Order: sequence, then C-alpha cells, then structure tokens
Amino acid sequence: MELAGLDVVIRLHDISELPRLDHCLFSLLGQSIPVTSDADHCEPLWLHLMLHRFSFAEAQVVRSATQALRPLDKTASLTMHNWELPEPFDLRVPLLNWGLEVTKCRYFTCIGVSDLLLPGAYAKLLARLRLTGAAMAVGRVITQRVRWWGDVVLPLVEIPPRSAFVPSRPEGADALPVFLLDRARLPTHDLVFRVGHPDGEVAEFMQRLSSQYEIDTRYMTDLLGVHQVL
Amino acid sequence: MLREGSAYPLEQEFSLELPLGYMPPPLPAPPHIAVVLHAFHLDLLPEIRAYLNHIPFPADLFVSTDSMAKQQVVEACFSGWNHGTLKVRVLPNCGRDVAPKLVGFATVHNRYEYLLHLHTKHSPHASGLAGWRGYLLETLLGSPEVVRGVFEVFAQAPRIGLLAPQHIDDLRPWIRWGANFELAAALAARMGIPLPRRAPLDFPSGSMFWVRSAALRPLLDLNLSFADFPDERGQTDGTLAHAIERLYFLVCEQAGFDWMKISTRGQLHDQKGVTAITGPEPLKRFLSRRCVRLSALRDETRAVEDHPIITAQPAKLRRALHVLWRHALGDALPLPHGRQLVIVLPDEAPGHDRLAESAYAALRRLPSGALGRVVATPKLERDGSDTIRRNVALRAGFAAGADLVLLLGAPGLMHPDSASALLRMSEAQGGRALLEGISLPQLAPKPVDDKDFTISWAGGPAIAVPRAVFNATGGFDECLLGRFAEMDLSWRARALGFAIRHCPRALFLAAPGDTEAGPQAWTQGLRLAIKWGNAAAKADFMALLRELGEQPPEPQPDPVPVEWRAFADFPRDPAVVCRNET
Repeated sequence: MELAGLDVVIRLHDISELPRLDHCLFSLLGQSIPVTSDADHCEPLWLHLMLHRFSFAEAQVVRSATQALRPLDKTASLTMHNWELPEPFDLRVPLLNWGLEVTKCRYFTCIGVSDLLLPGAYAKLLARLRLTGAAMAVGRVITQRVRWWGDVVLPLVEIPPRSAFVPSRPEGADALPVFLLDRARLPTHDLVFRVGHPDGEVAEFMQRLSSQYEIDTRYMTDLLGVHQVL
Repeated sequence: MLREGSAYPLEQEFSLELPLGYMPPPLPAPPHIAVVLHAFHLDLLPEIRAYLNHIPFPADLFVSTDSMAKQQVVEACFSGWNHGTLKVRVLPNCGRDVAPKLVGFATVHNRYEYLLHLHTKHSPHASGLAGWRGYLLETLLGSPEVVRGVFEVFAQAPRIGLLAPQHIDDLRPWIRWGANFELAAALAARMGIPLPRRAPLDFPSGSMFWVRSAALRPLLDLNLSFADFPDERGQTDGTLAHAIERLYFLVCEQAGFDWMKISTRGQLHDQKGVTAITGPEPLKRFLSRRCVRLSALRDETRAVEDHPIITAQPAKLRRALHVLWRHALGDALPLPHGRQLVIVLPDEAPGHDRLAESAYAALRRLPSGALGRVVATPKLERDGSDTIRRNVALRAGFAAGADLVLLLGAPGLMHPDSASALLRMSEAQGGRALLEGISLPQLAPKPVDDKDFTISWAGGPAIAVPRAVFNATGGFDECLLGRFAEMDLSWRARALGFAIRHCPRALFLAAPGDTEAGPQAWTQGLRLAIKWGNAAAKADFMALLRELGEQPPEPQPDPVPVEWRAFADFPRDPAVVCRNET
C-alpha cells in the first residue's frame, strides 16, 4: 500500500558517525512539506535509518541519541533497520536496496550522513516532480571542507564544485546532487542500486535513470544542500 | 663539554601534571595573591579574564598598558572584577611585558607573597606558535583545580619558588641563549650569578608563571628602570627583556629557591617526563628528586645534547586543541543554580509554532538547576525597524529575569541541545561573551579561531546576548540595520572588553535570507564606516552609492572613540559585508 509523504533512506555504517547523523537528521527535520491544499498541515516524512550490522548496544546508543530530535517534527517518523546477517561484508549497496524494499511512499530519496539540506529542499523537488511529471528531480549540492572533533564541526571555506552536474554525465561532479524520485514513473526493475561504478552506487543509480527517464534539473542552479568532507 | 645554548638532557625534564591526582587539603589561610598583567593586545583580555575567574582565592589585579585610551578599555574589560582590587596603570611602551611587571609594579612584589605574571601574548612572528597562549593559560589557570594544585605545591614545598609551564614542543629549537647571552651574562653578574658562555639553559618560555615574590628578590633588588630597556620596535629577540626572561630560573635559584615546570594533560605532543601525582607524599618525593638546579649543572663538565626537536604529530595536536575546545565550550563547568536563559521568539509568521515548540524542547534539556523561558517579542506601538524590534526583544528578555537572552531572528527550528550549549558556553566566558549560533548548513562560514571559537562579529538567525553585554552597550544601534547593526554591537562589545564567540553546538535551521546588497546595504555600510572611522570602507561605499546616483545618508552617525577603531574588523570588500551567511 502506498503511503503519503516521502521516504528518506540514510545509511549508518559506523557508530562514530553519530554526531554527523545528528546534524543530518536535524537538517531533515527542517524539510517540512506543506500540503498543497492545507498550508497548516505537512506531508509526512518517513526517515529510515539503515544500520550496518550494529550490535544491540550500538543500536541502543543510536536510538537514544536520536530520541531528542523526535519531538521536533510531529509529521516525521524515524525507523531503524539493522542488518544483522554476517554476509555480505560490504553493505553499502545492500543497505540501499533494503531501503527500497522497506519504504512504501511514492516519493523516494536517500542521503548520506555527511549531507545537510537547506530547509525546504525536498519541498522544492517534490513540487517540480508534481509540476513536470518527471521521474526524478535533482538539486545542486556543494562540497564543503570541514573539521570534525566529537560533536564539534568547524567548516572551513566554501568550496565551489569543479563542474556543474549534468544529469546524464555525473562523472566529475564535485558533489552528487540531492535527488527525489517518483516511483510511479519508474519500473520496478530499474529501482535497484548496483555495485561497480567508480563514483559509487548512488552516482550509478542517478546516471542510469537520467539516461532513460525524464529528469527535472530546475534546481541544479539553486543550492539545496552541502556535502561535508574532512 | 657543553655546547653554547645547550640545555640539559630531556630525561631530566620532568614536569608536574596539574590538576593533581588528589584533592589538596584546604589551606590554613587564603594565599596573598597579586596578578600582574601587561595588556598590550586588548582583544585578548576577555579570554584572560575568563581564565582568571578560575582562581579560587582572593586575588588583586594589577594591569599595565601603554596609553590612556587603552586604560579605559582595560578598566571596562575588568569592570566588576570581584576577586579583589583592580589597579590599571599606563606605563612606557618598552621592555615588552617584563619592564611593566618588574619596574612598573616593582612595589607590588614587596606587598604580596605570591604573584602570577601574565601578559596578552601574541606570537605573530611564528604562526606555528599560534596555540602557545592557550597552552600557557590552560596550564597556569585551566581550572580552579589547576590553581589549587599550584598552591598545594607551594604549601608542601616551601623551597619551590616558581612554577612555569613546560615548553611546548614547537618551541624547543628556540630554547637557547641566541643573541641574548651577553646581556644576560652582564645582568647575571650584577646579581652575583656566574654565567659562563656554555651555561645550561632553561627558563619559563612565554614569560608567564606563578612565583613567590621572594624568589624574584635578586632581580627586584637591581632596581631596574624603564631607561634600562630599549624602545619597543617589535623585537623578537636580543633585548634586555628577552635576557631577563632567560634568567628567571637562575634568579630563583640565586634567591635560594627551586623551580618546577608544570603541564596539563593532553596539552603537549610529547608527554615524556610529565608526571601525575596521587598524594601529598608522592608530591614531596617528586619535588625532592626531580627538581633541577641549573647552577649545579653549570659546574658539570659532561656533554649534553641540544634540546631535541620534536616533530608535532597531527593526532596529538588535535588532542591538545580539543582540551582548549572543551574549556571554551564549558564542558566541565558546573552551571550555577538558577542561571536563566530566555528565548525571545520573532514576530508571528508561518512556521512560528514549530520554532516555539523546538524552543520549548530545547529548554526541557537544560541542565538541572538552570532555568529557561520562552517569550514573544512585544508588539511595537508603531512601526519600527528590525533593529528596534531586537532591542525591544532584548529588554523583554532581561525584564523576564534572563542572564542570557537568545534572539531568534527568523522562523526555523532550534536543535534540542542548543539552549544548553549556549548557556554553558556563556558560563565558560563568565557571562561576558556575545554568542552566535550556527545556521545549518553554514554556506559562507566566518573565520573562527580554532583555539577558542572567537569570531569578529556575531550575527545570523540566533544571537545570544548576556546581561553584562546589554548593560554595557545598551543593545543594538537603532540607526543601523541587519548585519551592520550586528557588527556594530559586536565591535562595541569587544571594545568594552567582551568576547565574541561562535557556539558550534548551538544549531539552528533557517531558510537563507536575501543577500543584503544594493543602495540600502551600501548606505548602511557607509554609516558603519563613518561611525568606526574607517576611511577606506567609507570611500568604497561612497563610490558604490555614487555609481547608483545615491546621496550619502543624513544625519551621519557619531563616531566611536578613536581607540575603539582597532576592534572593528571591517571587511575590505563591500561584497563580503553584504554576503549572506545563512
């Protein structure tokens, strides 16, 4: 059954990334999407946290650490999914595909814990999907060099991307764009993340879809997010 | 044979770790302390004041500076100093920090048993030493426990006359006589200290230390005058002041005392020789076995190596920095009972309710004993600028009993840990810092001093103003708008001795605002430039306005006192002034 709102999948591979997760989730809670017909209400935001083979104690730590953020957005819900099987060793792609399996909304995206979105980013992309009927909408993300220590992050200077992202050729883009896709416009067999691309599974996914389906790039000229690198 | 400028072997370089590994017993009576501080770089005073608050005993403060204008700033910075008396004197600008302390405040050394020598240390001649001041202050005054440890040493070992921070590793190549030997030898001879060319050397690098006044008696008895010191021309070596700095330990020995170096855990890259002490008896044993007498080594004839050059290791550098961060953030500081944060919400707008809910959620996570309230900005009787609204909001916050008022400038979301983070950081600065929260993500971050999070001005969607700053400044200048009013308030606060800090744990979400550019921004920039007497910025903004056919604003603002101008970090590029930070 299809749920209203949109699904966001976030992978967490290491408990040491918890401070980054906190910042990432906080930025996601600023993504309230007013319902078109009723500005006082927001569409639900379903956050799915995919844990990379965490122990029970580690999962409890994550649960406890994210607890404080939960009251901030009554329309958002956070669900944790922990991959406990011993295989495969590399879970980067399996966690995303598991995310595709467990999510039920028409609109889907994934984000890394090093990504921060500007308020309203998903609302803008969703509006474009609804307006244009495109299968995917993308928005500009810049890379920012930062220094992390514990829960303290000091951004250094803004680093402009080396080149603008071209949806059909993401190679060389400095930071992958933020994306939102409309599952109703994509066949199931294409909704899968694959290994083997030099820029990673998300780049491969976006490149493959953008070569076959209509992509809205209106927000590739507007900044919607920041990708933090050490 | 000893080589010139050599020191004794590293194996003999023991230092005492502070705080001690046990709680020292209470002293029979409070020690009689004078802090002697030479204040040349006034922007460092808020930091030093915050550290001085860690002295858990009464302490009289004697501050020297080099102009009447600076004297006023120093007095403003230390207003409300309640540990003891405050005396600020204007003294000749010569002899670095040494002459003002030993000559200008010579008589203070006669009246107090213990002294703390400090100065506003900048090391622009060696950027690798940028963290040196933080290390010195952390080692001498890092916490009340550090200071209690100092006085436990003085109590347990009456023969210890001077306690100085161990050298930071980056400095070891400079622990040598260099161009200072001839001056040092001549001065030492006047004190009856033989100083052969190859005398081993050690000294309180940085010229900051705790000392018994009696341990400096041979030096004080020379009755040096300011005329003995050369005029100040930014010399980094080879003056009488540098020679005296290298003689402190020998003077201490000549007075019949020993000296010891102290360290704080995590501050040095190489911890070899740093010794933790677990009780009074181990302390006595350590001091009896590990004190070094340079005068005894001087007579030895065996060879010793130069001070080793230790390569700084990045991981350990980060650890040292982290100690300073924890201090600046107030991590280990208990919040006094009843401290109150008042959050003032902006006028009602879409998203107001969510912001209010997030503010309440943040207040629910305040530490035990801290208080929090949320109030709305009172309605104005007639239309007014945002700056007027902000002042009204500040007054409402303080009327509600706030120690710290958090102004939220736009609808958005407040992170649940932000309120605690701001209150703790404010407390760590003794309630004397204007704080800026972070708008996440930070697209155009300001330069932040990575030792203590100092920034040149506080702005953006979340600014926390402590009561002392509001009382001293009267709030925002209502002739200015937006970030220009924020810069002006920050710079006035700096000139009055307050710190401006970035609070990295106070996170906010707010939609990016519009970039302030165009005639209104240039007019505001021009007002700010005129007020702060910045001719270059004034010319830039005038030119921009002329290009648009606009006239300069009337009336023009009254300028700030000339001596305040140094506190304005006016960006040279007008585009930067108007850049959007959120």
